Amino acid sequence: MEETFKHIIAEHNGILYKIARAYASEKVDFDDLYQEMLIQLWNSFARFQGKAKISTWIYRVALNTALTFTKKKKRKPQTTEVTAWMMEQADDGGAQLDLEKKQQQKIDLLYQSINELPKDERALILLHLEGKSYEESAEIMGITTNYVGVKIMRIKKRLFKLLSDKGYGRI
Amino acid sequence: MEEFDLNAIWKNSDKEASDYYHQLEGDVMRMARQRSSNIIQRMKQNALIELIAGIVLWLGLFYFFAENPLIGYLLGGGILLYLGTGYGVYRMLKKFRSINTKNVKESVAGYLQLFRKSYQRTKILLYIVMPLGYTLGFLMGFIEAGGDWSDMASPWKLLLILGISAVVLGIIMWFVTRKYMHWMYGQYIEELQEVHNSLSLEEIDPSSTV
Repeated sequence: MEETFKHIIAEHNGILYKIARAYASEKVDFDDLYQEMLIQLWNSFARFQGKAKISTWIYRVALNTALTFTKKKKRKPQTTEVTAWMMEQADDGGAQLDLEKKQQQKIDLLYQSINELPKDERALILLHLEGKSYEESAEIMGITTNYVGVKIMRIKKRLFKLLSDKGYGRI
Repeated sequence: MEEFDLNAIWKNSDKEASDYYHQLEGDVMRMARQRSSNIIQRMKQNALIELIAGIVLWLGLFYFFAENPLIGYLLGGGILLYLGTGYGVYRMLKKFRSINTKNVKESVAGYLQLFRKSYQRTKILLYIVMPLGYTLGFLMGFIEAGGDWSDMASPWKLLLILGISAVVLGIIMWFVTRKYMHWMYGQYIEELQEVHNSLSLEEIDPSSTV
């Protein structure tokens, strides 16, 4: 069972990482949330009966965990601490090419902007960017496909505005 | 700014995700087996602490006040209260064991229901059960101290003392519990209510889907 679980997590590790980045703005919260998602997935793994797709199950557990996750420390305004840490990791002795740095900046700006959206909108745009169909997003979120479409359109508009305010076009 | 751009950027973050995962790959199972720090786990811990503290308090009361004629009422009432609320909490938490595997909207609604019930239960315990316990405790202390009922001149005097003390205690408890309940449930209820409202908007306002 352990091996199967590890294999599933290895295959879907991107989901946990992206959800944790979308919902945590500080490095310590990011690590805590990532771990909490692992704990919740492991705890519910024995009850997973394969009725839904594995990825649907992971999204549901991980998003529900992220939605009820609160910071241990007193709430502070959104910071870019995770971003700074990620950039440090990517910087690795300054050997990275300019193009890669720009790409990294764009990734960070995207996460920062997603982080500023309301919690349910973060979940929806994340699913959209992951390439999930409206049907699958609706199944994960528990709303109609029609409503997923409407909400995605609105969220994208808001996200583009946030990105351009942060100077996305200038990178 | 094309949508294509966003999707491409998003795809690029896969490398970051896999780099992060590889750093902790050997520790995945150890991490997954750690104790959860989520709100449900905290509620379970609180219930357990309250249960243990209650049992210790009971034993202490029984030891020191075994001769008191009111001890039977206190212990009997306490046992009934524990069985009632303890069973309720157990049933409620069991019902929510697999809540996070449901879809987001159902899960959020479930959490809201759980937090509201817990909020109500705590309020009932604090505002009804506590004053009753306080009154009983006062009477026990009065008897224990060898108090004479006739000293009270009239039952009104006793009631007045009890009433004033209960109001003072009530005000203090009100401030303390408001802070405690907000810390425990308040922020979750507010945030989850916002999420639930947003996901339910389609049902209450069909024009919003057009």
